[in-house]
Amino acid sequence: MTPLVVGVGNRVRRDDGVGPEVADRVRAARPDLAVVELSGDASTMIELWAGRDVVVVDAVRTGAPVGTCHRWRLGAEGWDRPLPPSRLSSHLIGVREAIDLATALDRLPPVLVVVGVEVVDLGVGPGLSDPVAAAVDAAVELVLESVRSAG
Amino acid sequence: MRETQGRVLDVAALARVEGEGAMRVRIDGDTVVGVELDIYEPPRFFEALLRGRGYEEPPDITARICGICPVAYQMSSSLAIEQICGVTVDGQLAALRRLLYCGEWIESHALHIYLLHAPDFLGYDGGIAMARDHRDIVERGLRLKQVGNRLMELVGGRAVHPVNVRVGGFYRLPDLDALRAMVPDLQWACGAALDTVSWVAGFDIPDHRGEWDLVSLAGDGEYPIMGRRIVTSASPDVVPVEEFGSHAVEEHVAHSNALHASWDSRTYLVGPLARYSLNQHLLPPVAREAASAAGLGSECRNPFASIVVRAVELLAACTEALRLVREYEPPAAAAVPVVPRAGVGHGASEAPRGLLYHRYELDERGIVLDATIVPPTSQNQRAIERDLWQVAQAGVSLDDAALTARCEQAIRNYDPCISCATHDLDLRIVRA
Repeated sequence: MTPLVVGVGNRVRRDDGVGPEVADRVRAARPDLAVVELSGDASTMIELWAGRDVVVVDAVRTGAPVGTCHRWRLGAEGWDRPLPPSRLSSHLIGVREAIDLATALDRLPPVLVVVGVEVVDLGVGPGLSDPVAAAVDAAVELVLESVRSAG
Repeated sequence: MRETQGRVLDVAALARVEGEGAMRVRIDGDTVVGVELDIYEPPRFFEALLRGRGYEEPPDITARICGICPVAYQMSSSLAIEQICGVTVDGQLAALRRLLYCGEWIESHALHIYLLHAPDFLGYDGGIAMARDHRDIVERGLRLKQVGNRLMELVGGRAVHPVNVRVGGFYRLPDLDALRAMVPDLQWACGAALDTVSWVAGFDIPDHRGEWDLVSLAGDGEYPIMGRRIVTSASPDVVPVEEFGSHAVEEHVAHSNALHASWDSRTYLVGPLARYSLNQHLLPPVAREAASAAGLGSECRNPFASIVVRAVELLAACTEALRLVREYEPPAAAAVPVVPRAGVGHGASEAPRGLLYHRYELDERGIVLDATIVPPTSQNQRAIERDLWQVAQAGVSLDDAALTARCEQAIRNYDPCISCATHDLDLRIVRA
């Protein structure tokens, strides 16, 4: 089964829309992939990802410079580096919470990659801030590369 | 009491509340002297965004206000615009709308009950910690949520941000076979929802009585989801939705970015407690019996018991969805034709969190001249503040961590959707 790409975020909360924006670009570049957009409750992912490799892209705030693209990968040996603490994501049941929930329920996908883009502006309205918009290309490349290695 | 003079305490951000905002509780000695809920309100931004747009755009645009209840925004906006254009959507198209809305109630209520609210009663930090000890229960909650998502996907076109809704009905009708194939899942969901009611009814629920009026749509032979009449606990009068604005008045308060609402100058509450207390006689019999077995009377004013009421509504939504799927017969067309005309229209529906009101003014070409959106959480803000005041005062002798936890639980009683999108609520207790 082809890997699933999930763009998480709200397009009318400025930089929070980076997940869906990257998802759009990935969909255009690779129409063969399953690409979905989620806003609100990320626990829905647990149903979507049953039995397939998954790449999730989301806005993050870890303290790194705005526009930094991060990647965390879960494979057979576990995570390649520790996930940041909860509140990595800005969502209610965010990506980190969904991952923790899936871990508790033994429902993680075989391969899970989280691509996070460091954001700054989470105000109301459409459009990404300049440094985040400038990071979209790199984030798309990171997602595509992750898909290639996952698939 | 420990010495608290001059103490300012930052506590953890409030998790498990939809949205973003800040809450500050100020305590002087043993007395609560201030409770301030400060939230951000996307609807103000959307009202501005809608001006100048075409009459067909509000359902799609306003659905983006909230990732949890997009259908509510789609329905309230569609109803308002259809009123202007003299269009009535009824029969199987109205039934499909109700089915879609049931999907949203199932999804939202299951999320809140299982992952956000139950952990408070069982002594867990959150749904994840609870899942480690109560795996089967959390799996049941997730599966219920999935049934709601699936309904939204089948009827709305997509589970998150449904794209199939339009003014006048739908872009396309749902696949009949796929809809009928939902029957076993919905039968399971009815049983699981009944088990949910029994489960939450066994929680240790604090005694508390909220002092506010209750406001909801009036059911027209069925438990209210969409409608044109409003009922309140304060008066036997039924208010047409067109008169919403002359009863519900929003005003700025100094400490908040948001407007605070009152109904006939009184604090009021919308949402499950209001819907149940004003319409419980219209619940499907199985839900009414479950409510009675769970110890709910004909009225429920205890916000801590809202989890039980939500479970009863979850059961009602599953029961309704099963009925609607079984009775569904495809209508001749997916939508009623809508020709724009100038005028003012009002639409209201019961979002999972309570009454959501939209008002639009169109010109003769169907261009939006003015838009007003009054979401449930902004209507409830004043009631939440008042309630928090009582809860904080009752718990004033607790240490800050315990008092914060109590306040957080009290806020979650209302399932507030504080900005309908992202982020944390920063809760502070300040002891002067």
